[in-house]
Amino acid sequence: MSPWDLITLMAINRRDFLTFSALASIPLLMGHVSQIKPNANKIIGTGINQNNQRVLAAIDLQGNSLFKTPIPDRCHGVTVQHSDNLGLVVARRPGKFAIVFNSLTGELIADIPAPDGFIFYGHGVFSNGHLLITAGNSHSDGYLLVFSINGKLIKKLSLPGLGPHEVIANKDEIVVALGGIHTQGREKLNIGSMKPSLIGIDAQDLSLKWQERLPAEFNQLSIRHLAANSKGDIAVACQYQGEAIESPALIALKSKNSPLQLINLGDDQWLGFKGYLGSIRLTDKHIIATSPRGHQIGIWNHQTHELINQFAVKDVCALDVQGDVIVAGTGSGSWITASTHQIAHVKSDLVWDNHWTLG
Amino acid sequence: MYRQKLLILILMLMFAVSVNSFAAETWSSFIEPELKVSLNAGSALQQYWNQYCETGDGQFITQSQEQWVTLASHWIAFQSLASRRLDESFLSFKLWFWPDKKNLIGKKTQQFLASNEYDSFQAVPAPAQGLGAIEYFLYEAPPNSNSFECRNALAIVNNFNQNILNISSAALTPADEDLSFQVNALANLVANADKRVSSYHREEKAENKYGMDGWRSLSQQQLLAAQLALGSKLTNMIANHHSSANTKNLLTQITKTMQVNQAPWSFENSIKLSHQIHKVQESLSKELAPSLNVTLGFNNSDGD
Repeated sequence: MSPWDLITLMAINRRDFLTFSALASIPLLMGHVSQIKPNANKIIGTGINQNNQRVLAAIDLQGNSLFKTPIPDRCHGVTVQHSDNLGLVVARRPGKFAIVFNSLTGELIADIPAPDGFIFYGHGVFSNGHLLITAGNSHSDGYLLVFSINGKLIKKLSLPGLGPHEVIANKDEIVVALGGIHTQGREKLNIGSMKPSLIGIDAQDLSLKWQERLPAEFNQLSIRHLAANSKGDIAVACQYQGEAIESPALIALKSKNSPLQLINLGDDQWLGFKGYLGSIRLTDKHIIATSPRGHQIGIWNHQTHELINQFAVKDVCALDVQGDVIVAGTGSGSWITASTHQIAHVKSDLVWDNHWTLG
Repeated sequence: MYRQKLLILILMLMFAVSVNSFAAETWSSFIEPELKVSLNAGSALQQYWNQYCETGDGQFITQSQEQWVTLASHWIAFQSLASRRLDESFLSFKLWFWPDKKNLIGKKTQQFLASNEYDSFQAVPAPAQGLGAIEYFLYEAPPNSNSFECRNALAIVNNFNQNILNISSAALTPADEDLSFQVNALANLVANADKRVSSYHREEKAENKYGMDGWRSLSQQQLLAAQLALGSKLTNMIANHHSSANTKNLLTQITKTMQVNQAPWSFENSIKLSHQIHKVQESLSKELAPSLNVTLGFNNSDGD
């Protein structure tokens, strides 16, 4: 019997709650959810194993371990270049290393130390045969460091802002989130004066093509995580640096023909996300984001921005999407697969860190 | 006098909990009584407030206030532990709105009391729906009896009671009996207490009376004590389910450290209490969780 056969229903969502409460005499475990599987055949991320060791790990979609490779410290973003079976994982800020690995076997290919005077900021991307990793100096001035696949530093590209975080490839551009925060270690030093922005860089010559900001009243909304869909639209997940209970909207959208703008919901609809989104994905139909502080996955209609559904998932953060199938990992020893209206939980022998990717 | 009463109450709460009395306790038998007290207090509050609105007799305000303190003491403790049911309800901010640095509770509740534009509570701002809203009209701005505002205030109480009834109706799951769930719940409760006390002394810089729950009713310490007392009770329950002497000793130490004996309450003592709470947090994460082979969820507190 595979773990998929042991999946139990945990289909509590916003719409169902009241109905469900009224039916409380019916046991929660109402039955098996139909299997929701993406076409990809594995998930790659980092986490902690049962011996409390940090590992780079892959599981198949039945939850079986494909590889577990020890890593020296906590990592953050992971990305895969499928054409070459290459993966890149970057140490968590303030990161001292990144690792290139074989995405089929987990074998380490290159260990990339952060250059003197720089720390890595947790995310990187493959682009035109190179690795681009977000980094900063001691003042948190943003940089994009360009490496060869075997880890040779090729270029230090200065970015127009502080505290870069996620970087993604989007069509012929590289998009970088500039969170705006000056940090020392993990301490934040400039919350009152931060100015986050989103930038687009030409993927060929690495020249700056555009830079956009939200209105100044949202300067405490740190732009941190990014996603793009097949049309090149971009979704931005933010983390509010003020009180969570006063949080404005946490998702902004940008497309080729429209500027960066927050999606509007009723005032109270963001409260449950506690001012913090940890990961985001964008499809042609949906925006999906996780809030580890709110213990929620939110699913919005990409066109109308309507919040379609919310699922309560303890400590959820890692997220990826293929088609209409959502997979998300938790920091409490489980992972989930979901569609827009149902969700199934699978136990895991790993606790998963903030990000993962389908491969 | 208030402080003496509070100290006695805290000591009673702490020492009334004996390890042996929880030998066979399940999560359900542990947590459900807390909820039941909240439901009963909410129901009594509703009746007293209704009587005030109908008669104008001030004694019903006093009785409503007494029920509010009982309700809030038990609810905040329950809310810190019952995270799964709260998360799944998507109601937590509508039940307890904190922190409230901009006095949104006062502003939004006052607006709601004077308004007739809402057909249902779906559209009412969260700060005007929770226990803080009830505390506001009970202690800061009681409406006149037989008034439109008085009826709106009653509607807030009714809505709150309906929300906690819905949460109480959501079934417990086998996962709630799981040791991992309970240790994580304990960690959550301690973290919530830490946030309140840290907010009160503004990271040891200055007093901020709005930082703790219950400042309008001057019940801050009572609410905090109730929260930590329930944490002690849970610690004892976990100890009784685990036979390892080391683990029991560790849990006993955690229980002792959670005792709120910093009287009289002062800025300095709130800092001492913070240090105690930090010790508990450290013991939980570095000793207890590993010794019980439990993973404390970390994405919710340590992201990027």
